[in-house]
Amino acid sequence: MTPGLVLGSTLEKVQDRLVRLAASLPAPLRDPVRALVARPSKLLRPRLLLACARLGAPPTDQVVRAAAMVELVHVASLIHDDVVDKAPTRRGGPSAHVLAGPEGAMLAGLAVLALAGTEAADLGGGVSRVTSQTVATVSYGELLDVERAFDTTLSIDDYVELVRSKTGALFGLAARLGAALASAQPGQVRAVARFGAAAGIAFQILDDCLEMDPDQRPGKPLLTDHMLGLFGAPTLYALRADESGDLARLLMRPGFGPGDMDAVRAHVTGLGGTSAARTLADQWRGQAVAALEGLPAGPARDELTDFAAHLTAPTR
Amino acid sequence: MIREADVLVVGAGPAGAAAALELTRSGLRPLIADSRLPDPQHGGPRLVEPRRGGPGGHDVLLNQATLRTLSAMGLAGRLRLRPVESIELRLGPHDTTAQLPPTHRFPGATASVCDRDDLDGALLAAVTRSAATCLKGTVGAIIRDEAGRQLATVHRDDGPPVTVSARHVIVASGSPPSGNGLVCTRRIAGTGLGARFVLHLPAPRTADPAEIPVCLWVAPGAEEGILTIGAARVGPADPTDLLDLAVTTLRAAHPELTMASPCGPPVTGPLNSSFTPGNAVAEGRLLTGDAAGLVNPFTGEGVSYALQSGLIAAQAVAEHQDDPHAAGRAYKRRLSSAFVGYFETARHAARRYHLGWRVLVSTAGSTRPVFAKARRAVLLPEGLSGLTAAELMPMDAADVATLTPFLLACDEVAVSTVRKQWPFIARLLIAGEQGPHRRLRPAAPFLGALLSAGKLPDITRATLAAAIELATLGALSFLGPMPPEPERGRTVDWSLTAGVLAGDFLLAQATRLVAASAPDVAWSFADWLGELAVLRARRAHPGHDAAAGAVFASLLEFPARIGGRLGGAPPSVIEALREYGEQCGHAFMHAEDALALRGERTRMDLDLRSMLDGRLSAIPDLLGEDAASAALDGDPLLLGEALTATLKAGFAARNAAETALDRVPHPRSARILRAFLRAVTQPMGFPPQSRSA
Ligand SMILES: Cc1cc2nc3c(=O)[nH]c(=O)nc-3n(C[C@H](O)[C@H](O)[C@H](O)COP(=O)(O)OP(=O)(O)OC[C@H]3O[C@@H](n4cnc5c(N)ncnc54)[C@H](O)[C@@H]3O)c2cc1C
Repeated sequence: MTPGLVLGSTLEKVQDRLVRLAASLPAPLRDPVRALVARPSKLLRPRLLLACARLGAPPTDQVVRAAAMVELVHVASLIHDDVVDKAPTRRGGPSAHVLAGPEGAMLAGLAVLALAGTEAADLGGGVSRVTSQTVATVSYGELLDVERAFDTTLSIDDYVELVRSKTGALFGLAARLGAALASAQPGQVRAVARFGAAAGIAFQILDDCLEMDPDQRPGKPLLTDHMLGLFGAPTLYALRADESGDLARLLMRPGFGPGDMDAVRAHVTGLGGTSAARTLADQWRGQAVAALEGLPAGPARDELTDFAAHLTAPTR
Repeated sequence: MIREADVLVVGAGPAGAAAALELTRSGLRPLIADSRLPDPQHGGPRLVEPRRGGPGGHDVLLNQATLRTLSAMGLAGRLRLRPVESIELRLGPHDTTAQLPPTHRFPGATASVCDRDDLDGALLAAVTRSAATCLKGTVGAIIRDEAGRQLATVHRDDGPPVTVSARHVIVASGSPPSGNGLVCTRRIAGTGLGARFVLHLPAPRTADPAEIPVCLWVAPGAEEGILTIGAARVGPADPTDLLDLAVTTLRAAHPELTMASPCGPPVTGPLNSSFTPGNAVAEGRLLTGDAAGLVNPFTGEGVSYALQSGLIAAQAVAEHQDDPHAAGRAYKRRLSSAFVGYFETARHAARRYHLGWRVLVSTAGSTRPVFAKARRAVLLPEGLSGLTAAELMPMDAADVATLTPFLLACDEVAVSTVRKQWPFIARLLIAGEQGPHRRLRPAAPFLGALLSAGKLPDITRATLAAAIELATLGALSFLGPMPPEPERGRTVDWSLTAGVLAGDFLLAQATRLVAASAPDVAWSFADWLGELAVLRARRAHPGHDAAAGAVFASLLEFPARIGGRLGGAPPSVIEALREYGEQCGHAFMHAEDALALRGERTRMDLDLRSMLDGRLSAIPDLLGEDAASAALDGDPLLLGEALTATLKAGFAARNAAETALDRVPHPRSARILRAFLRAVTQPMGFPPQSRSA
């Protein structure tokens, strides 16, 4: 994916705005947020918003503001996720709770979310309303994510519901806001919102698949999610296929640790888990692309098609 | 032969008896069928037949709500009740660990125990004495004919079956034999736990979400020297194993029980906790009590729900005598406001219950206000007074009449917002409360301020009030002492996790309500949440200073200011309201300190140590950190000094709030706000000079 010049410079503006917003937070909550925002990330959600904005020609500053706001919601959820998971690193640096302690990180996440709230209100025109609905869905996704811990029998349907809430909802919001700022027709706004949600689901499933592939993600602490009993799509498929019950026993062992990683990978791949998950991701990707059918040919549609084709995990 | 009846009540346990008696009170003559009813042919009530478990029985805990209902039914005087001294919760490790779980003790003064057979006998006797027509027999199949009448076959012990044709049917036949769990009890003798009621919720042994929680308890007997031990579990269980587990666990925690021996047979019954309001009406018949699955899945308690649902069903029928459909709708509607929160989410019920269990158990030692409240709301029998900070707001009837519908609407919105996804949080919003205006709640000053320009309250603003209350609860879950780091390993840190999840969830829902109902407030609302985060961080973070009361000042300033703004008050009045709210917050903090210094329960459920540890006390601001910790260590001189300084600061805040209220011209608005202030500062008592006021 080679982003065009326009996209590149607008994304830079989004990044600048994020940095400025983080700097506007009062001490002592500012520092952990600033550190996180300064590190490189793919800004997938802002990217998606910018692509959808090309359905029209909205003022750049509005688009930048909305994109930064959506990214703030994402950053807030990352900070809180890391508190819950006790993840030591994020985007290649220490995570917020390592920098500011769990309480500091909890409050920093809250402050970032509140900042997104004032930004959404400033954007006007119903942005608060759709944003707050999305944030509520994402927080429900957090709950679903935690309560399925160590559930080796989680159904794929339940897994998809979880991913739809946790990831799909925010992708959907980014897409919808971009199109709405571009004053796209309601039908088009709905179409890109469907695109976003489906692409978000596909993205999350692919992210799970990457965990099974040691070469792809040197930055990510290996199998943290499995340690915490949070099994992704490949593992869940493998568990369903595993008549021996060996994989479930392995995953539930109290002493389970990084040393068991290779065995898990071997099981999951051997049982066809990873390829089943990739097929599922492709289905969602297909749904995303299908949602674009009603869109006029043009830069928005091209960029979205490209976006769906290159869904890859962000650096963590 | 066919007998016609307006209402057929199936079963004369607590639910059926309550329903039948309530129906007769509305002038109806229900027909009630139960094989345990005394035989009318034998003239007069006889000794009732014991229930399923055979002789020996067991004792049950009757909470305050139950006792109130029973006495309204004229039964309390007929029961041999023994008051319970205290109720203790023990949440945590299994018997195998050396370490005993932390105990939470609550005064039990308003609960009593009574012999189960005694209770059943009193209910059956009351039914027999009432105007209800009794039919000794068992109801078999019931069908609904084309005209909508319910045709029931009643099998009698002696004599041919009878067909009853009724317009309404209230099903109170108890749990279906399958149920979704098991309750077992057994009497033991020769022990010395006195009149304490102890409830244990052992921690999960594994991380496996398929593991099923159990709940164990010891109830004092109505008779001295006899106790009932009990165990309940949702999911499959073996009664013998369950009772064995109860005995070993309880003995490990209470060595006094070692010498006790069984003095009766085990009593076992199904537990049905599958309640949802939607399932409570089936083919036009109203299901009540255990038949509707109204049982606390954590504790197996169901008598009080049975009585209450029986009453509600009878009222719905009495109000819609000619229209069973309308009765069914009214019944469902009222059930959903009366019974909030254990299982509501059919698809995720098991997992959410499991999460609830883990969180309750792992936050056993936590002094975070939200967890303390959750423990009480989810596990304790309902309506135990002394458990909640129910300072009555001193108000005249007209003001209560203004406030009550608004606050009820606010509760309804708040509960319906969270109940589907987080039913346990919904319990937090309503549990243990008597009247909506009895609570110290931010919706009260919000409403007071809303009236400040003399306009009548707009009930649609109750949605914003609900948002403010949900946000306050959410903020509280980010406040307060951090839980200790659990041992490292493959476990989820449930107490930290639950705090984050609940906080995020509540704040997100609150924000959603604001955006939908008051978009012009969305910015201020988000700004307020940000301010709360910063104030708390400045208080908690060394080297950054914020007054202890600052967070509370902000919590109460916002509802007062926004209420004034939406009520159309002029800027000078809004400023006065803001000042009032802030000072109320500071006064609240000092009142909490005063309670903690006196060793009394604070409204946030904290003690002095956790308030100081959590940097949620103004005492260090008044006396310095060192003096505050010396006071904590029990230095009587410093303790006295701390109390004096606390009261002085508290009265100053109160006076400042009163003074601000002088600038709120509308009398009703000022009265409600003053009443709220009184309730906030009530634990401080009155300063000598203003005692006459
Ligand atoms: C061992 C045990 C201990 C318990 N301890 C406690 C406790 O300490 N505290 C507490 O609050 N709860 C306790 N419970 C739960 C409590 O007993 C129930 O929730 C409560 O009795 C429910 O009342 P009910 O009226 O709905 O049903 P029930 O009390 O079960 O009454 C049902 C009645 O219907 C009659 N009946 C059944 N089928 C028919 C039919 N087809 N036709 C006519 N009549 C019929 C039965 O004879 C019975 O009289 C315990 C339960 C058990 C099993």
